[in-house]
Amino acid sequence: MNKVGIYIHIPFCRSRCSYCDFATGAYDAELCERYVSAVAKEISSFDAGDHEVDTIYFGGGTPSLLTPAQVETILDSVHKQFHVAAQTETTIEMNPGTVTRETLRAYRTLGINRASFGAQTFDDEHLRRLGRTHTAADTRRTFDDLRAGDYENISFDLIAALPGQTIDAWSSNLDRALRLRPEHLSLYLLEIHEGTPLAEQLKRGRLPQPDEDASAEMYRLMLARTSDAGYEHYEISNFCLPGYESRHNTKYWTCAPVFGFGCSAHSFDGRNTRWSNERDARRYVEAIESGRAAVVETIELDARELSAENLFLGLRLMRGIDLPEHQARFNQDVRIKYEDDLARLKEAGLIELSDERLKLTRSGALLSNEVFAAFV
Amino acid sequence: MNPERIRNFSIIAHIDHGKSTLADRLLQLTGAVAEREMENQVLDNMDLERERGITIKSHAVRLDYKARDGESYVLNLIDTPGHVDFSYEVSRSLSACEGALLVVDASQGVEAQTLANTYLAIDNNLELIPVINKIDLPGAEPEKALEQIERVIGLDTANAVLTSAKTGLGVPEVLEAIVRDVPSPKGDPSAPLMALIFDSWYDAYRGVIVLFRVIDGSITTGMKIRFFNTGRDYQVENLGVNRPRPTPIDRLSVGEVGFLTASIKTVADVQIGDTITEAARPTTEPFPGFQEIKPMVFAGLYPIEANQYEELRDALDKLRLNDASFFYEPESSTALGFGFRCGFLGLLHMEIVQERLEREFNLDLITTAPGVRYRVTRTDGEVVEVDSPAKMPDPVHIDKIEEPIIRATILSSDDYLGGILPLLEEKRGVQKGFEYISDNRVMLTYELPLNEIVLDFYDRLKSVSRGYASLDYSFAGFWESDLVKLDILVAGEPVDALSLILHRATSQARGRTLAEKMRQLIPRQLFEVPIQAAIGGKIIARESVKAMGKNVIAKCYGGDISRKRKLLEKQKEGKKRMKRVGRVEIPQEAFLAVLKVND
Repeated sequence: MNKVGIYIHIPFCRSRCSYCDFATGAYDAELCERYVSAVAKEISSFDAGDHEVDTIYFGGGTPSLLTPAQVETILDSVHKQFHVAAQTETTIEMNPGTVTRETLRAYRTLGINRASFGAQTFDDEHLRRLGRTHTAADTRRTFDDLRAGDYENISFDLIAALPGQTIDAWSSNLDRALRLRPEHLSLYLLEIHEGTPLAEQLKRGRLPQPDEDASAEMYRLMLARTSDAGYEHYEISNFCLPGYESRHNTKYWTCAPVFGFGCSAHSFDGRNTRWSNERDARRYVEAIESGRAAVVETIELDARELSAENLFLGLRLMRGIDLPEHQARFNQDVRIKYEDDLARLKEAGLIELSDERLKLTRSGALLSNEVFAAFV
Repeated sequence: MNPERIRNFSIIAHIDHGKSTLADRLLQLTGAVAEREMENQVLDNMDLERERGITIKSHAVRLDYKARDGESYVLNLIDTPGHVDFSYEVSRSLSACEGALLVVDASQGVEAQTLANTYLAIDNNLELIPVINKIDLPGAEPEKALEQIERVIGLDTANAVLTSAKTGLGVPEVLEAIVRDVPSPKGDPSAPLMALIFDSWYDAYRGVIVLFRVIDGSITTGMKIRFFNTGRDYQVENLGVNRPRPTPIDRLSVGEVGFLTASIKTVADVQIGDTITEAARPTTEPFPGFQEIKPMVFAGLYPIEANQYEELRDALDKLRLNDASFFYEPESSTALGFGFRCGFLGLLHMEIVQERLEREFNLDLITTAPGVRYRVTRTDGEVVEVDSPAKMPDPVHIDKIEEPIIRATILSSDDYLGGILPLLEEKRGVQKGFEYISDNRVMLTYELPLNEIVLDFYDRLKSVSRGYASLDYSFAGFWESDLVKLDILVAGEPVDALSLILHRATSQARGRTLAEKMRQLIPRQLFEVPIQAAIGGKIIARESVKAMGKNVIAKCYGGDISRKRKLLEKQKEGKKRMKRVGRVEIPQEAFLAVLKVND
């Protein structure tokens, strides 16, 4: 049986970042307490079958706003409902400068063994503009606190191509990140989502528009720099020291089962069904408290959609798609079905194709949507 | 009916000088339309006519008027189209009249369109009654308007009437002037039937309705008639007059105006200017002045969605039932797919057809840059007519190219000459006349290539004169020109929809503008895309669209995979809607934008 991942969404933040379009809202202690109980209840009433869990992920929002006791409540319910494997990867997301050493130690005692936090940039001016409430010094301190707290698997995020960011500035950000030597790094090019304050600022010309070619240059720079430092580029935006891939996130890219709990959480059964929960935290709590299901949408994927998802998700991993395996799982010979597109993409230098494997090239990673669009 | 008691007249006016309002007043005063039924501009039937404030189709209304001399008269108001594109139709409507009201706005004075139609009226020997309108407005200078009429047209204004059609002031005097000054029709009631067709339209219930004026003889219900030029015979089914409601009548004789139906399937069978006669006793000579209508402006019409091609063809077929003055033939373009090459009387006519296709038939269309019909003499001596850049022979086979010329009359305040004269120069105009018609009002006469007019002349004239200059023109023959075909190449492939025929002198600049515009509009592709402008084999401008830098979704977890899939599907859908030229995907909007550039 395929091992499953558990995702728990914590929809609270101290403040909202200007680029964020996730489901999150202002922290409210009373609502948070009710929310934790609701999540525990949702997990307890889930039909878990005989699934074995080997990753647990607290995402958000800012999950580190939870007290250790609240984390414990949720983890207890997971352990009661599922068989949790011995070497389970348990991750919690956090914001720098918001978690005390004591809390970190307490989390560690509860079994949390991986931390992921949004450093975003080491430039305080940029942090302020993005609406982040921390400084580069906070990032540094949090990293040290985590190490002191016995965390051996630390990941953080950096965003490239911020409005006004130069290639040199990005380069020194990379230097500072690599000097800390985290086990894992998520390095993104800034994405502008409609309706966010950032999109509005750019539209009104309050901030300079990031340049497409400079962004591409920054991306290439991060590939070179991380590689020199011994990191493996294992996914379009993710890098790790050998053996430290995010096991939880890899489940998404390989269409493995993940069960999500909490508001706006998404799930996949590993076969053909995806479902998602009520997006609003309060409505989610009310639904669970009154004994109703929180699921608002269930999608059964047909063979074509399943195959498409497996291709565009699998190709995000730089190791690419194992073609015989894909054929066995989806009964589809990619090389025949997409012959023309593959020829075109190969000619443009975006993919590498052999009998066994289909994968993105480095330039293909930057233009991956162009590749993926061929398969949907 | 006694021709002595008939007056046939039309109204000549520049746009907005008050023609429709005056017509409405006349209908009201004679009781043709009751006060409560009064809807502004009764005569303009089509939505488009009301919106644009212009008359596209002719109309005729019969008014019963009891004059101050105690006699009852029949006044036939024959409304004319108000635009230069339809000058042939105007001339046919005018030749159905003995007189015309020359309406001039008391504050605006004589405009180009007034002049053009006045000359047509004089050519047709019409008695003109000057009507100075809008005298109630603060800026009104009726004396000045009268002076311009005397000076420019050389018309005696002793019988002029001052009115405000809006308030009704002076309108009864207009009716009296019509009775007094417009001659009654002269014709031979016993001669074979001769009637002039001045308009027709298609009615879904009754088939084609023909508007005509009896010159000689008479026409009756059931009569077997013949159209002189087409030679086709029909039997009159319904005969009637518009009061303005259609009212049946048994017989119409000398001088009378009315309509008939005769199971005619399409308006193409009814030619404006043709003569109706009796099949059994035909007239030997037709009414003079008939011409075949010739399209002057040509453009490609393409459906935006390829699957609307059949619908577009059906719509064109149906529209032609109602408007025989445009022509179309299938055409295909590598960039735009399947569509039609269409010919129109002029730019306004083109816009009207396009708008009716979109509005009445729900089609989304791309119209290629309008052009004209060139006369090309090949080196082997053969003369070919070229109405699309695609049909232009290779330059090595061309001996000479001639282009259609128009004679333009422009009236403007001399304040704007500083903008107008350079514009005419740039448009390759040749001055034929320059005349002050009052203190600061100038009448310019120029010969200009029609090609230059169809591109953007009218808009630019309006902008350099802040909307005050008025323009009218008529076809004036051909002259030989140094014309070239400009091609735009994308990644080495010519984009036929963007080809243009233009004068060599302006080709460089336009080539550069077009290439630059295309560079901005073509989205970045997986590879660099060169864009070139070329004349013959020679490249005159180069641009390039850089290869795409990035297109990547950074974060892809948290599990909302379906949303990402939909995002990708949308991207793919977007690509499908693009037109492929070689390997390059060009969004439809790029063509639309380029075809709309006015510089």
